[in-house]
Amino acid sequence: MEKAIEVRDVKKYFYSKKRALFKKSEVKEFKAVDGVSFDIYKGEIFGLLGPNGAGKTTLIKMITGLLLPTEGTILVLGIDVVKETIKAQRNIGTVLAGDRSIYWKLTARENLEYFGALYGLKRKEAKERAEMILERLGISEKADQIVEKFSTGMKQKVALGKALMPNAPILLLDEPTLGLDPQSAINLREIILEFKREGKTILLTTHYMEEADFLSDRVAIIDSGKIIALDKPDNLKKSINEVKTMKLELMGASYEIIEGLKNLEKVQNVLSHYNQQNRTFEVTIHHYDGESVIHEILDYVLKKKAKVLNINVEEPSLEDVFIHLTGKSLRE
Amino acid sequence: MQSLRVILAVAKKDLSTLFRYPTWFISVIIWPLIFPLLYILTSFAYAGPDKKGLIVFQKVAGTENIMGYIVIGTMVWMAVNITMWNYGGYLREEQLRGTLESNWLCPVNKFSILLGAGIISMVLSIMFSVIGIIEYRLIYGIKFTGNLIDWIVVFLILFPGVYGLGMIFASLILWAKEVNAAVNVARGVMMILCGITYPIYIMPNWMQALAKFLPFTFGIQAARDILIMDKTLLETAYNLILCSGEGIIFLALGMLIFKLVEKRVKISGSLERF
Repeated sequence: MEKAIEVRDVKKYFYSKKRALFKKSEVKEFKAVDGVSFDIYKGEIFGLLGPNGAGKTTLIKMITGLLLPTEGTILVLGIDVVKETIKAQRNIGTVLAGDRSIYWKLTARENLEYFGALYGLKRKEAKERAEMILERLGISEKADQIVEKFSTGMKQKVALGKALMPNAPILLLDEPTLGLDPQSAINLREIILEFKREGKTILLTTHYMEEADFLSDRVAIIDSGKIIALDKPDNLKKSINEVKTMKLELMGASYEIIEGLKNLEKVQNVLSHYNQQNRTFEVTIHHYDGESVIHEILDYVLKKKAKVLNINVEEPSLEDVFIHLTGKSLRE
Repeated sequence: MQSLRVILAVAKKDLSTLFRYPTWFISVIIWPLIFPLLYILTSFAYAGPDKKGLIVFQKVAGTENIMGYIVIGTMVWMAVNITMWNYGGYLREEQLRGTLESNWLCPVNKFSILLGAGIISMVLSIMFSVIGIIEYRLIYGIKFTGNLIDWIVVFLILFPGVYGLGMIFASLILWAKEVNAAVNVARGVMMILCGITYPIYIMPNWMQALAKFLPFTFGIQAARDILIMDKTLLETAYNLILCSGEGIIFLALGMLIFKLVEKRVKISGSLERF
């Protein structure tokens, strides 16, 4: 398979100085990306899944040439991004920072034509392409309205349209559905799948595991600047097949009771979320070997006089893979 | 060709936004009138009721046209000031808006974006100056000398310096993330050193020496020579050459600082940081 993007042992360290009066300033090092390597093949959707602050955006910014890596090499269609930034950028359409990445005081059409010019399109070419993209994204009726009057979903579409202007073979989409309502998110995901069908290579960062699962051919899970797993979503889920997932909704429980669950034999991870509205705990338990441990869990909970409102045994998701690997939730 | 397309696209985008929200036009009409008035009235007060003081002024300034002398100085200063605020803060404004990264993602020499951004400042400066000259003629009754071509030459000669200074500010502000303090200090220094309302010969020698490092000192003098003292371009060639020569140095310095800051923000990751 031909490679579209090659990332080789890339590191990005940030340094901040802590100054104090009459003292030597202290330099703090933060490893945003710490020795990451992977390849993205032509025509695939590659998902980069991780919690906020994991290093996803930093990685994308290095691929686009916005940031210089501290170490390592990044090739886009064989072009070194650091040495030939402009040449590499010609092959990439990017959506970063969502709706803020476009001009709110311009119309959707003006935005697209402006970025078209910056991508080297001639005036006529930019006009035709903008028209086609507006049509395709379903915003042609509002093409000549000022963007600030648009909904978040519409603004996000204009931002996506901007990335499509150069008709580049590679699309980098950083959290493209962040802040969208469910229907808009579904629509945008459909559009992303259409791009794949057209043969575009897509790097998608998200912290929505359902999105990564639904869209990606392969997923890299990133945490604290390191890639901790990389495979097809199904393979990742299969890799923790021996781990079962049980979800409980408890009333009358406490954090103490939840902590106690961790001490049960064959229980691997326990994550909980307190639903203030219902005054219930939503508990996710990863455990080995189904039946006996389920009885044990239920016995323990009932003994502590908590009420079980709901119980579900579920297939593992990418979120479970993440929990299995890191012991924490994607939303933490 | 691609750079030219980028420069024009940036200018078109900024001009569209500017003319879509035209409340700034009020300041274009009022500000050229109000700003020099303070100095004009002060000078009248110092000249005395019989205007005897003007004889002294003429000796050092070479003209009795005190109003013309002041408005030329303030007009040039306003053009520089507009550039420093608009152009100098341009990249910072893009950064705050969230669009700077979008521009930086495009496969163009980023310097072209900065050059395009300067056009709007140029348009505003020209508007301020043209409206100012009309108002000074009609309302203050100032008689200007020279012809239109000479005026345009003086204006063009000022641009390398204005542009260069704007670039230096735009780059440093992107790095330092603070517009107000830097611009206020710079414009204050310039206001004093360039002699916008008085001849620089009245300043101490060390201040005069500093003033000669600023192209606007010579630009203002050239503008006065042409616009109120009825001199030819040849007669003020010394000022024109020094203004453009120093302006080109400012321009080169602006380009160099921009390149350095561009690399720095790529390392520190501060392109999108507020």
